[in-house]
Amino acid sequence: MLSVKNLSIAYNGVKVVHGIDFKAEKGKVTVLIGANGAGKTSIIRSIMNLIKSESDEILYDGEDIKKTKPNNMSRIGISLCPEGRQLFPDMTVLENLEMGAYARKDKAGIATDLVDILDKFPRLKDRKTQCAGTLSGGEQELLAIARALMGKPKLLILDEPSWGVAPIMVEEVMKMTRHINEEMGVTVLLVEQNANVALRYSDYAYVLDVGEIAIQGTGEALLGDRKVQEIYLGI
Amino acid sequence: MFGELTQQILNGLVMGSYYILIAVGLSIVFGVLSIPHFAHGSVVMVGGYVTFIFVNKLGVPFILAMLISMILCAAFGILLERSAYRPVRNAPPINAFIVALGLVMIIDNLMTSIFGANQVIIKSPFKSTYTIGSAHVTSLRLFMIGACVVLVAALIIFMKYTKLGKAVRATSQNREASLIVGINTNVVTAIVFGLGSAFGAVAGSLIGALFAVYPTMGTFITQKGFAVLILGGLGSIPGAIVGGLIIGLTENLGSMFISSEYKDVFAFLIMIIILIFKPSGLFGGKGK
Ligand SMILES: Nc1ncnc2c1ncn2[C@@H]1O[C@H](COP(=O)(O)OP(=O)(O)OP(=O)(O)O)[C@@H](O)[C@H]1O
Ligand SMILES: [Mg+2]
Repeated sequence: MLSVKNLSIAYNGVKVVHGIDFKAEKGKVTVLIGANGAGKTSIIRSIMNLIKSESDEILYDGEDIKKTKPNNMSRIGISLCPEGRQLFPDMTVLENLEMGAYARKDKAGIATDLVDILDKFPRLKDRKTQCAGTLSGGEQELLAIARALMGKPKLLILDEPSWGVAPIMVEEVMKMTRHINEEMGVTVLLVEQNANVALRYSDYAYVLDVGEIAIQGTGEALLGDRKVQEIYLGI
Repeated sequence: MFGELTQQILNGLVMGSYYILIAVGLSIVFGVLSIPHFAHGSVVMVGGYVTFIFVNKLGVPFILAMLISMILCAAFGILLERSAYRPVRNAPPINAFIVALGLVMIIDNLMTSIFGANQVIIKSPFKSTYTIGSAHVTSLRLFMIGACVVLVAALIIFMKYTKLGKAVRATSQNREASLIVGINTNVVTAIVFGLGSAFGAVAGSLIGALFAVYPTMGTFITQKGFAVLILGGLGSIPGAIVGGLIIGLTENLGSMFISSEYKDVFAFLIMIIILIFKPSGLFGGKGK
């Protein structure tokens, strides 16, 4: 579904990502794991074309999207749930969800999806008319995911959904991710620092170490991998 | 005394409407781009001159001339953003600040060289005078209040209920998230400059009929506009409305009770007093 070849990113001449390759297989949950500053967000932002980067190719559904404008990504089926949520704080929960469907033209479809999504996120349903800025951290994360889903994505990219979320909610967010993947058939690219949780919920994982892919394999394999355990799980 | 008070309140509402028309434009521009659009006053001035040309020189009816001025100013505002502000969008904020000051100089000097430094007065069709109690008000003044109410109400409805209006609000709350959900933020930027400048054209046309227009009036307009904006809270439309009314009324009541010589001091004085108690302005402070 998404295939990135030889991606490098530099800020003011300082390279932070060094020619990495990775893939998000159709129908799977793929995770990019890495510590603070490993370059995860930079990678996501360059896929979305929000920042400049260099690569041989970035293929999405067989098409090169290196030149696709960020505001056209949702139109081709890529939704991002960005780091730090990036909600519209002074808009209500409902308005935020509506904005998630901004690029869509199928009014009837949007209306049904809104009902479905509110059913999937009862916490949000109870707070429909509350301003997004006044939600709790966990609720905000759910809203950010729900907003991304309103775009009816084929590929959902989640950048650290566990950030600033209480431990119980982290499990809820991960279960939701798995549910979105399995029940809604959405391919997921997940970015996480929280390796322990992320590996349990993903099909395939890449471990990023200062801008390079250090290890890759299935979630299960990496959970048992000594090196991963030492570095990321602190065992 | 009581008659004089009613008169000054009416005058205050008229000037308040004028300030509101100017400040809402500044406010939506600031909301979306976070730049101090100092050239806004110059757009207002140009709007006045456009109406002046169409009415006084070409004999076009006032309302039609004002509509033409709104359209031309909208285009002018959009052009200013594309040619002057956009190139420095990702530069440090000081650059936009300097570009704005440069624009003011260019526009004001250009207008002076075309029209001369003297003021001109737009011929107004609104000549009748009404008496409310013991106060008198011309239909032109009532038209200023009416235009402000109608336009601002339309703007609020646009922002609250239309898809494009929601896109404007979304962009001012989070530009990057707006891109992610598929909003073309360049279109949004053009819309706020277009709308803000069209509102400015109305203000310039009406003040030109009520008093006069002259090439250097822009700086003064911008100062007042920003006083209103800061007092009301940067980027807030309700703030611009309440701020405009407060400054319009204070000026006129201050002139009545103290002295009209200090008219312009009152505006800034009230702004400073309010900022002491509420540093982010009346409706500001939620932050982005
Ligand atoms: N706008 C920027 N300008 C300069 N350097 C940046 C910028 N954004 C990120 N960096 C640097 O790039 C490196 C990678 O940052 P990035 O945000 O991609 O990491 P991350 O893996 O997402 O980290 P985290 O888990 O903390 O979110 C860091 O060293 C960071 O300081
Ligand atoms: Mg990050």
